[in-house]
Amino acid sequence: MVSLPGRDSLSEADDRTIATRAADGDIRAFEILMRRYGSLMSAYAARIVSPSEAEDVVQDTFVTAWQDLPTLENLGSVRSWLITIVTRKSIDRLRARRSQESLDDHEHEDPSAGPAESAAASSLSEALSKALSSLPEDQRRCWTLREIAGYGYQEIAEQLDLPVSTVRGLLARSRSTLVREMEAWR
Amino acid sequence: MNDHPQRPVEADNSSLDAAHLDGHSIESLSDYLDRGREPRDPAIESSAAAQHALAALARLRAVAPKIIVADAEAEEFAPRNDHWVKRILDQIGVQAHAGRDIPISHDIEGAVLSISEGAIRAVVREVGDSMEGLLVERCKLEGDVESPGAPVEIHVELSTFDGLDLDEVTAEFRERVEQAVRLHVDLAVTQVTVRVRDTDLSEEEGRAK
Repeated sequence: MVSLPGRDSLSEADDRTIATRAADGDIRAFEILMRRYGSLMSAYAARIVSPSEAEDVVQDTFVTAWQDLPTLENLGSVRSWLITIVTRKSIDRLRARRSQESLDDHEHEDPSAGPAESAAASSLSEALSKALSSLPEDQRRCWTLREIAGYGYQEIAEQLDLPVSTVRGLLARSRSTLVREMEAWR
Repeated sequence: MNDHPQRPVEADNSSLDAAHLDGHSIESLSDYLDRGREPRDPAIESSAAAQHALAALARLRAVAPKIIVADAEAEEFAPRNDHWVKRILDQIGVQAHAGRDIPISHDIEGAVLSISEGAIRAVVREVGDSMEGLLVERCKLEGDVESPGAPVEIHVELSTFDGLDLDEVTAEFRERVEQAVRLHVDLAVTQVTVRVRDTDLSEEEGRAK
């Protein structure tokens, strides 16, 4: 590795190093962390809330991350730690939206729901990403919480205020669609 | 809702089509997979269709983390501009994690001047950043920094790149840290210990004054 002054090598440094510095109060290191994981957080949040709300969720996530980073024991695992925060923030947003909607009493239309993009995907994960976008919002949300966040059925049901049986049904339908997409890709 | 005429949804020949699952359901097969296929269920293990579906579900699970990574690379989810970073930085402010106040001696009657512990840590980081091949990871001030003249130790964790003469670099680093800190505050720095990532040099290398 080329030896450079520390300030130039910082953006190349591993997660643990960057997170350690950020936990120590280095706001520049934290900025590098935000740039490194900003799109991932935003893509992830968009799978649980909606793309239009993802930006706010990501902002909340990083503000909390900055405050709580000094308490993170394993700083090398900052990526998965960020995922747990963004999951929590997404669910908070969802709950806030739902209580607002019950007041407004109208159906929320998900702007991202709709048929999959017709543009050809260049990889399996890209094809599945498009298929995920085409799923109804509640299916996509359950699938993301189960498969990416690793939540159990019971936990998803509690967080989303749904019966466990509904969660199981939504998961089965989302898996069925995604498997069909995956098999079509082969 | 299908843009792919070659893949009609109605004539579903997916391995998860309920009609092809030998009486098993996607739910029960997913549960079985979740349990690590334990205890073994002969009805599932002996059904070719169920095996095929299990394999598909397992494959989907394996590829799941890559989907979000693919999302993150997709234009659809890319930040439109850099404003979001600035907005967050504005919100968290530079004063967070400031730590204790270190008094600064002065001749101004009635004034209380101080500099934050966080600012001194930043000075130490800056020393490391100005040197080739090393990075300050963490810095801690130990001692009663709030009382002028009380002995204070500075503990620094560094990471370095291969090929450096560690003894030489850490000696120079310690010297520069002492100078830089003295420039800002009149702490009685009794020791600067340097711990290089995974190699504890503090005992032999910590230079007591």
